[in-house]
Amino acid sequence: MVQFVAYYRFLNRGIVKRIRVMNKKKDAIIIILICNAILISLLELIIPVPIPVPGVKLGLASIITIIAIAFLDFKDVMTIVILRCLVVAILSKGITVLPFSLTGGVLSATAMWLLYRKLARWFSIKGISVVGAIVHNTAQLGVASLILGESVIFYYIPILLISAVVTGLITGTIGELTIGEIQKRGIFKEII
Amino acid sequence: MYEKPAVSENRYVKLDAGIKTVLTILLAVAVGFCDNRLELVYFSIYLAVITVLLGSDLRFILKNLTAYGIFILFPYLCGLLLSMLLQQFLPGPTYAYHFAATIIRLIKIFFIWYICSLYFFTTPLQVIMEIFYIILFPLSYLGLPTAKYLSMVMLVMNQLTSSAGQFKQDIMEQVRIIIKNDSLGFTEKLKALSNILAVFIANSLQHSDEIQEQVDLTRASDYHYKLRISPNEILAVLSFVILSIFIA
Repeated sequence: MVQFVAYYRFLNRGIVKRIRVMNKKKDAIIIILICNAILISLLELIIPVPIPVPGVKLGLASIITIIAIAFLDFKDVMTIVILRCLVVAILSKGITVLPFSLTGGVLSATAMWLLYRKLARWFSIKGISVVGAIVHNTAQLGVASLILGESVIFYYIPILLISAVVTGLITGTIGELTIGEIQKRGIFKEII
Repeated sequence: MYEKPAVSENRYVKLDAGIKTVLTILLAVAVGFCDNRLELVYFSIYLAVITVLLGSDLRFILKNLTAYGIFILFPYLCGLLLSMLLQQFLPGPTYAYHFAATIIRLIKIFFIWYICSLYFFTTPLQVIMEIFYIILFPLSYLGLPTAKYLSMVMLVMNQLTSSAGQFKQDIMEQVRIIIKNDSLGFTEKLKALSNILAVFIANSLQHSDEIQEQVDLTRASDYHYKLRISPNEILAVLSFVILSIFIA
């Protein structure tokens, strides 16, 4: 019994130590992932968008959100999304875009997190990404409609939904493959 | 875009950031009280004058117009067009359009959009962070470490400044080669892209220790704001009072 208690304490100490190491580096990991999301979105300058509609982007930054959902907890995912939106708004001096990007980002990340954690049996990462893109675009349109006080804006939704399915499939495929590569290389295992 | 953020040096008028923040909020609220064309004309003249005085430029105005067009104007016009088309071809209840009211609202939203962007364009980043710290300070009573999060934002900016050049040189070039490679199929291109991203993420995480050290050095005292009142601030407040009288 004494031996068991000692072993249990040893194990427990290991877990506590691991959590401490993880927490100690968590802020740094969040900062790096935000930087990566912003830098990866620069790739949109050279990757052609399949649907040339003004305002429609590939949304490559969501690859990092998908990776964060796969490896980090909900609070960290939200921190990454919120701080990324804030940094992009400050850098581009377009702070008025913040309500749009924040609402879209937070709601799509929440939807993707719920699907990944609770309904992963029915949804692949590609499917989760498509849902995320749909929620993102719908939320942004909802904010525009709320600000303008006009529901006529929702007639634009079919175009945005079609583009969301296409862009969500592309980012989801890249995200799925990247998560596979990360797991294969044990990248987060080494750090966390 | 993600190189060192260029902040206007306030070529003609330097204003205290706190007073500028309060005036920005008051101006944004005042836009809501403009109900006729004349008041909107007064407001636009006022905005044109402060744009010149605060040292903003044409590029900034165009950038603002683009963002406004993408987020508000284009979806509205598309929605309008589609709804009209649908009403033409499908029978059903007609949608009531309020064009005059909507145009006034569109102008008001643009003014608010413009005022906020002008504030951020003419205020240095560190000062914006100090103001953010004051605004978000009540959240620290709820246990939210606002100073730490603001430091994280600053660190992200610094990291971006230092790594954007390298990213453009290495990763963007590799991706460009893959995209232009016609011998690769769509799936192969995506696979190659994900390999590059995985290596990029792995390499970037190697700096986690030094970044964490910088986060740990953060203190709330890094964000301290002191109110300064000079003739410029008094004139700015007075100009706002005069505008308010005009639109009241």
